Amino acid sequence: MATQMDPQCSKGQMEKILSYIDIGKKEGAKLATGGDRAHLGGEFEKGFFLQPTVFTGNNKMRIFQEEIFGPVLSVTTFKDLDDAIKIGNDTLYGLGAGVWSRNANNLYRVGRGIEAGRVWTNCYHQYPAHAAFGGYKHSGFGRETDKMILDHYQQTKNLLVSYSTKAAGLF
Amino acid sequence: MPDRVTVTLKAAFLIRQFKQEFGPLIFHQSGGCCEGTAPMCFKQSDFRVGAKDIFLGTIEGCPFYIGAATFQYFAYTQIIIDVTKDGGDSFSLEAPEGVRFVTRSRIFTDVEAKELDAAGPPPTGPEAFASDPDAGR
Repeated sequence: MATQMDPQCSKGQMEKILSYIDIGKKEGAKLATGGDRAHLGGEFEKGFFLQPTVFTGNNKMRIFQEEIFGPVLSVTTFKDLDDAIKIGNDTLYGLGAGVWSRNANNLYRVGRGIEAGRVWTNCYHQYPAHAAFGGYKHSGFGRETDKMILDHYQQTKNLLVSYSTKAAGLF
Repeated sequence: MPDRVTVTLKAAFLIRQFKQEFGPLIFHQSGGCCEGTAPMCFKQSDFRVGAKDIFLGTIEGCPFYIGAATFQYFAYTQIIIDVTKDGGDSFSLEAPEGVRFVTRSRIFTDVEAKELDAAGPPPTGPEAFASDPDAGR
């Protein structure tokens, strides 16, 4: 299997991802592919490359719940659409989600039902500059980009002016 | 009852060295995006423990806390703090030294899990460490 993933940005990050792969195995997730460093040989041998890794398991497992930030995918099954949305929302985080379907009804229902700041719909990982970006839940506050965000960079000033020509008394 | 958090020899050595250099330290396994689910080491005076943060124990006399929401998924995991070379990409205290604390994990055995359940939920907030026998060590 060839990977399109570049090496990790640091050894620390690579170690962190490997520690997640380790915990995934210990929690009983099934390793479908990958699960180790990628040894590319030659001048790349010492690079922080990882094999693309796929686990199958249960959404309560830590590899499903925490953000791994590496080429590790955790896959689980669902019974029906409501079950899929319920599983998708059973997480502390909510920055981005993705849904793929040929059924337009499903696409809209999932997009509305998922608690995430962006739901890529029949696409993934696209970042047009004008589209509001930011997360629900523990993934952050507020949004960036989008016209409405310009308000956040401005002050609201209130000039409270008296038109009275009489002395203000106490003040 | 098993320790919820423990430390490797290598990491313990580094923590001792940092304590001499910086004074009292605190660790926080925080939740959150990106680097969040990583052990963060701070000077105690630089970090304010939240009332809901959960006190898991001490490593080398330093309090170790975790965010309440994150703990839900760590309840049956023993955290083992280790250290790796070539870090330097973090806000954590050790980063400028070019090393990085990492969390290794061990799933508690069924017997250990029962003991932990019987003991009830771990204490929360800054008082939890203040009343720990390791405080001020």
